Amino acid sequence: MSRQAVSKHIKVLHECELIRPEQSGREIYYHFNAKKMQEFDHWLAQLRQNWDTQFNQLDKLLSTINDQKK
Amino acid sequence: MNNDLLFDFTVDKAAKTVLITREFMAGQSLVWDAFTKAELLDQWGAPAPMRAKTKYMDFKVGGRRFYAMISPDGQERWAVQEYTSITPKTNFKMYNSFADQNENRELPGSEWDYTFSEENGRTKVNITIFNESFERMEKLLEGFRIGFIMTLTNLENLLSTLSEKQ
Repeated sequence: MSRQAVSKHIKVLHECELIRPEQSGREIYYHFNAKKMQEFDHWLAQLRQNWDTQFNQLDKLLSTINDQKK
Repeated sequence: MNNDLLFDFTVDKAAKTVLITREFMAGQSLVWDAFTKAELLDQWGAPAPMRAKTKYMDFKVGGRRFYAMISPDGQERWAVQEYTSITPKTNFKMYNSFADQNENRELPGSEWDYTFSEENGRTKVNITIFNESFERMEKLLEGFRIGFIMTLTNLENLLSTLSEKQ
């Protein structure tokens, strides 16, 4: 991987706050931000939950429409 | 009531794609209508306590649905769905983008693909969402793509090494 590619990836990871920079003199140390990863997992779980809620609503609607037809 | 109905939700971080599969206890024609008619969509298309309100919907290739998700305190989040392909009862594709209340789109959006199939009176819906338009998610997914090249732990080691060399 080229140095530029690494820089680009670091930039994106930093923007997402998945890594945290720590300045030490003229060097920067990056640390993995596990808390952010958990937040993202939580966010995904929330997204899945939203879909589940919507689909359960649709189950009810379909059932209501089918009952009306009978 | 729906305990035995299939529900699968997968995030393919590398492909920036969300894959959703769900079965419904109804015929394909009715399920198709529930996904393609505004008056039905508005009855289920937002997770409670949110609700969906369609301002207009023109379900044809090149046509749009302009709608909002409304929160209990009345905040509206508008979006535009533009239909790019329709095969009646079987498949439709659309391009989804958030928008302001005057229908000005915030690009880029995401590509949605819906496939419907029926077996033994149950209808299966496959939804593929490519390149979700949440900027945050996009950025995060971009980050995760790298995770496939090397684990984040390895990356951290690499970064430390590079920092030391500077």
